Amino acid sequence: MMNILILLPLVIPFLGAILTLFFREKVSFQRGIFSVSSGLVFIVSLFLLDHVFTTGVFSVQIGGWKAPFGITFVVDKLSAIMISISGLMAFSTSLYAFGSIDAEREKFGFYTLLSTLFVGINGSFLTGDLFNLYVWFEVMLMSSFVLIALGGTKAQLEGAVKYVTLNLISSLFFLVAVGILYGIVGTLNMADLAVKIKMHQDPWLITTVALMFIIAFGIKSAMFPLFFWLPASYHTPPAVISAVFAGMLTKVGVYAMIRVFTLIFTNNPEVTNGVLIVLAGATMLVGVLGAAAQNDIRRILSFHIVSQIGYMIMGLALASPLAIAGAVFYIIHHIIVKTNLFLIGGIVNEIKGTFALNKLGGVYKSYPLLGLLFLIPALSLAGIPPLSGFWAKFSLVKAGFEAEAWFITGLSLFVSILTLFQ
Amino acid sequence: MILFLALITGILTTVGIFLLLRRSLVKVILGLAFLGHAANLLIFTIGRITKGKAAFVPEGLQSPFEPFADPLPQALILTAIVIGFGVQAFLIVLFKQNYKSLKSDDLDDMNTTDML
Amino acid sequence: MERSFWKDLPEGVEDIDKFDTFSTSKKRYLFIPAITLAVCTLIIGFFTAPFFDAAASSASELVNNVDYIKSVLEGVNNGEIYS
Repeated sequence: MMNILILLPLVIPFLGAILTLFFREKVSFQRGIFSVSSGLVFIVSLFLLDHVFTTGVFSVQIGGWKAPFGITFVVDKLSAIMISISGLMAFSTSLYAFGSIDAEREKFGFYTLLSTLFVGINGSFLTGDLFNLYVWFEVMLMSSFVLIALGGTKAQLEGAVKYVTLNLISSLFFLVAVGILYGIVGTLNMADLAVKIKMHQDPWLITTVALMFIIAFGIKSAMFPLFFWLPASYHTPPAVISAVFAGMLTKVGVYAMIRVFTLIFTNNPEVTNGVLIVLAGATMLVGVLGAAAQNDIRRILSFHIVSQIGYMIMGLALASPLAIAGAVFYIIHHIIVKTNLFLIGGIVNEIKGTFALNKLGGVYKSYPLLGLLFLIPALSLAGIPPLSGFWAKFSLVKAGFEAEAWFITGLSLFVSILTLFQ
Repeated sequence: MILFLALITGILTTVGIFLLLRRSLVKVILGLAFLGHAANLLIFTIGRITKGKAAFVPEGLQSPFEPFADPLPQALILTAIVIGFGVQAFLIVLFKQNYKSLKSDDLDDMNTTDML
Repeated sequence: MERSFWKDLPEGVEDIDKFDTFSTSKKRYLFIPAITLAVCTLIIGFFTAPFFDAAASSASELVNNVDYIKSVLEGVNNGEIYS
């Protein structure tokens, strides 16, 4: 029973994607199929969450091949949490898409692509095999490539070129790193890797590969100095697509990084965590300073994503249980809040016909409720107590003080004050 | 043999990076293709080359005779080639559409999305 | 970004307002997800304890990864396939 349940978050959206292909001209059918399938995934993910929190980690060997040889799917608490948030996002963005996406895009397979995107995302969360993770990344990237270019406006195509090229380079780094790791250790199963790397006699060889993984996932999750593709492309597609990308895609990179650096590369933490913490600090600062100079609502939000990624990486780099808890909580909070902000930005655009700050004004005067709605996620993002962002930042800062990492903690406080001013 | 393959991998990577740094979009496609081939060849080489010994299990035995070629890197490459092929096809169409709307294949002209 | 809500409309810019042209279903589709997510934010903010406990227990599972390894390699480690 559990074996089937673990595969459902992949099978349901995949079947949905195939079904939507049959009804190319009937958009209302596609809408129904997509919202039902994403709702089902959310329900299944709640079952998974319940099961994991009562009985602990469980895994499935696909095709019955024993662990280091076959492909393994694993659900632990982190992946169960991530799957349920992705289910919630799929459902809420599907509703928003019904109201805002144009008929042209719907006809050209918007819902099919969105379904396969969530197949890729859920697959990345569930898999327990490094090469399989690469394949799920590719599934996710391929759908996101088409989604970002769908509609074919000039800005979208330009953004897509930058997005596609940089993400392909990240995939190549990932592939090479996986290949080298296989050459050194002789296995790709994550649990098996964890065991074998602990016993490996040359930690520096492993650390070199670990740094390649930092580059690969660093591009994917928009970490300094590899973040520049994100603000160049995330504001070009329609608001729904931006919202899904902003909420989920970079966080898949962060998830992969957390998974790899807590499970596999734990043999030389001074080096890997040292590199990560420097990059985290730079990411926070550059993101928030970049946001200050922008005029387009979506570009400001894009730069804020970069800044927030820095906080999550900081939690991972501090590596104490409290810090990682803070990072996980930060991911939960960030996905919800950031998606919400993009959706509200989209509503402003629908009403006023522009995203540009110098052409906007007085929205609060005519729509006080929309202003209030905007205020909740915006203040939460800035970390005002008692909203969710405050608790996320509070636990990270507390972990920073416990680890006596004064500089990074001070920097994170400074950055959150800067965020408040925007 | 391994030395030869390592050299080829190095050359392909060099050519790929050189082409990526050009300003023309067509060269970016070619550069990505070269880098993809370099990555595949690297996995092939690093999986230890064993000539003429396929990993077939003879009838009545539990495992093939040592030494045998490791089939896993080849499976990885096969997957990576298929994915790379699909991505290449998409890249060509995307870059062509971009050329149609921008009327230029110079990367320096592609800065309208970065305007303030 | 707050500026777009609380500052006055800049001079020389025509005030567009398409809200009244929206159909009821469109309004519903636009606002329901935004309100749902805002409510989620509020819930996570005001009733943090269960969410943070979940994050903390997942973090302790990540730091102490014996359970994960055991679950995947169950029965393999003791068998003859894997040494």
